[in-house]
Amino acid sequence: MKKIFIATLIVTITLFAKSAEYDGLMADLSKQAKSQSPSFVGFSKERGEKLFFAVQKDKNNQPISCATCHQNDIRQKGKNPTTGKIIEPLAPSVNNMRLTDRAEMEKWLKRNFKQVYGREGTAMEKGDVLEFISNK
Amino acid sequence: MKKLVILSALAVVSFAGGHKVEPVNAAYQKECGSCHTAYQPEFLPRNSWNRLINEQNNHFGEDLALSSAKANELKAFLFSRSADVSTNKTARRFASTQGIKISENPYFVKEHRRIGSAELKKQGLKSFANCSSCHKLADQGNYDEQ
Repeated sequence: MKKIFIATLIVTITLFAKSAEYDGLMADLSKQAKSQSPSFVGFSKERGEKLFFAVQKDKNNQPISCATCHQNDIRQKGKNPTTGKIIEPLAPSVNNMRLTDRAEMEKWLKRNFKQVYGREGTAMEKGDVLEFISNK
Repeated sequence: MKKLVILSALAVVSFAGGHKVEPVNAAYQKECGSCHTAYQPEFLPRNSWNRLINEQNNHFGEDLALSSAKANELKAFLFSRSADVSTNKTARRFASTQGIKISENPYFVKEHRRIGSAELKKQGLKSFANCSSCHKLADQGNYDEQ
């Protein structure tokens, strides 16, 4: 019994440690979103999914969405269309390195929003996309 | 016979000294190798790397969004082995590059002169940015002909 308790405790701690940076970022984005829009009540994976798949025009006027590189099924490997470099899956269910490092999440959100939308995402948009990814 | 042995020995030596540079560190591999080959520092001189990192908010049209701490860390690594300070034989050939494109270096152009855009297309590529499509050991710093 004691063993099971300890095992459960270890698993719980590991899971918590994995998502601590994600939770911290989401809490801060939530605060920002509320201050920017008083009607904000929480992040939505549905809105995030729409943002992820909405086709925009890239800097060369070519169609682009997040799925251009990350695939329609983000549990699959993606590919950078310009260089051919393979991108490891985005979904945390198949890639446990995802959503564990706050600096990485912030860097890629800024970089990729600019690539696809030509601007930085708002706090709500970033949180929505993270909510979508974290559920995959 | 003796001559033949010496000749063979020479051939082996010159092959071994071909186009090899040092592998990169993990931080650099992660930051730069996510999108393209993590080009080893030996392929551009210090001035070019300095400009490239300073212009990271417009990196061939993209904003890399690197923190200034991370940018400085990358610079320190790149400067430590840049083409103008490295003693590597291949690096010396890249020391005279003026701009930030490795693929515009005269030696690079000469070595790749037989590979036209048709060959790149055949490989599913739009540029020379993914070295390991042809140089399978590029990530380990080995650019000998494959």
